[in-house]
Amino acid sequence: MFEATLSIDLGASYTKVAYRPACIPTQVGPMDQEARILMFDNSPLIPSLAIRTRNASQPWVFGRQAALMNPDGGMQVFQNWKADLFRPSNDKDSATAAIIAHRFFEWLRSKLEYMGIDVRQCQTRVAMPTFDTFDENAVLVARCMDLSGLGQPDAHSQSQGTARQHARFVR
Amino acid sequence: MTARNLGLLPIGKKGEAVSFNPLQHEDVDGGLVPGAAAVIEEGGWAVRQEALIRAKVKRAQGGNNV
Repeated sequence: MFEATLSIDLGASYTKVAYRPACIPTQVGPMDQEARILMFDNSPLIPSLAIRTRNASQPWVFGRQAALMNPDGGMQVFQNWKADLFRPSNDKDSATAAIIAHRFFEWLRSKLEYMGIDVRQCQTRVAMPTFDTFDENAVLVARCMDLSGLGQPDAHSQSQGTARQHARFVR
Repeated sequence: MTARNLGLLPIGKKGEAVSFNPLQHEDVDGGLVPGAAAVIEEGGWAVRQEALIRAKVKRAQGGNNV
């Protein structure tokens, strides 16, 4: 028996997300519960791109929608926010990246809830690039996710595998 | 006709009012956010839900950004 698991591969260029529903045995014997890669806007890959629109009704756009937009001068495009998020120094770019990460996880949570996934019932695992400052980065990402309603995740370095593997092998 | 026979579906017609969706529409002038009122300048083509050629759109006259 295991609870539902959400696995987020926070890669440099793309984010990938896998989900394994809870497995609650109803009879004696082996049980199997496969993880599945989630699709966002018809793709398993969420481009690491954020656009600040300055439009009150939709201040931030993420994912493929952002990648396919044609921003004008009033919009701000953040192409490298994940690298800034994992930057060891604490400067304005890293502060901006933390805000974007918070918004990104809010966007991700709303997408997951739209798919019918109750993120509050999921244990969440995050795979991140391996840096010397991995522990500090993990705390930062965990805080951003917690504030966005995704809960406190378990963080793992990227070398441990993909989102799908994380979701399959947890516990 | 060939495109239709191959299973392609048209995305919009010239002059049609749409709600901007970057996955289906290409913003010619720039500055549109998803959901903004737009008008199709040139139709596109899709296979199932995936756009092969996005329809070219411009901001609708008098339309707000959303």
